[in-house]
Amino acid sequence: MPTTPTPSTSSLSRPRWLLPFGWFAVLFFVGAQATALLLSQPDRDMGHLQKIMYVHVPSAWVSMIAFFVVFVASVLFLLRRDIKYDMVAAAAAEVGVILTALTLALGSIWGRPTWGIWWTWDPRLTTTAILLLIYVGYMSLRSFTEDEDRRARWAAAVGILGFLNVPIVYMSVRWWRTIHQVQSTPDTVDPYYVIGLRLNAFAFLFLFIFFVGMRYYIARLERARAAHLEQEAFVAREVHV
Amino acid sequence: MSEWFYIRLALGLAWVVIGGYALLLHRRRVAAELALREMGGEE
Repeated sequence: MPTTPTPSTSSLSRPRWLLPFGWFAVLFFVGAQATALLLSQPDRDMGHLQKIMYVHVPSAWVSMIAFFVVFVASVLFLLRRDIKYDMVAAAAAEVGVILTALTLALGSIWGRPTWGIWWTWDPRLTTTAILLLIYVGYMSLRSFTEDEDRRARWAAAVGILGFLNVPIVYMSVRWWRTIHQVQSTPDTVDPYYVIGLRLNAFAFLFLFIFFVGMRYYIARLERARAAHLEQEAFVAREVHV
Repeated sequence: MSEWFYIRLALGLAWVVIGGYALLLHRRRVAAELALREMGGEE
């Protein structure tokens, strides 16, 4: 018989909160962007370019949360050997990769008019690019084997080891001399900017929760379908024999 | 190029990526639900 147990049909129903929460997250994002972009005044040094911070900074923050979720889910998988943790880790990694790529692209667009360059091998930029490569590797690794348990174990190892780079990315602006500014705090930023940043941080967080929830639900459906196909193939083989 | 070119480029990219990913997930969800329903795997 197939080694993959077929999930019960009741466990495959879509969580009731998912779609309403998705709409809430999208509307909150639109409201947060509009509020921050329309209310913010030009910065003394950056001028209106500081408006890019309302997408660049929240994207960077939430990408780190995404990789923390991958780390926790990977540890839980290794401890409990429950495949649902592997699916959560895969979902969070996918969203984390998108947000990290977006962070780098937005930083580059901001850097051109501010620093005069699209890219430099600055420690913050370099460690973030390495972070992206690690999790792109994590995603690639998952397609190397069809064996569900082996895939989950390999991915969990990379998900745990890869997370070591996250504190390095965060601290890179303090540990090394860098062109990238150090982390701002509410004490060093105008209150107008703090409101905009906080609103958009929550907006990105809500979108992240929705994306991971939806990606996890789709993974469960696809797994059930694969198990169903496997079962049908097994029955067909038995009949043939 | 003016600063507004870079602002529009950055915001446009962010919105397209987020909207595009949401749309992609929507299409994948519909396809996965349909495939499972056709196989009789859903109540």
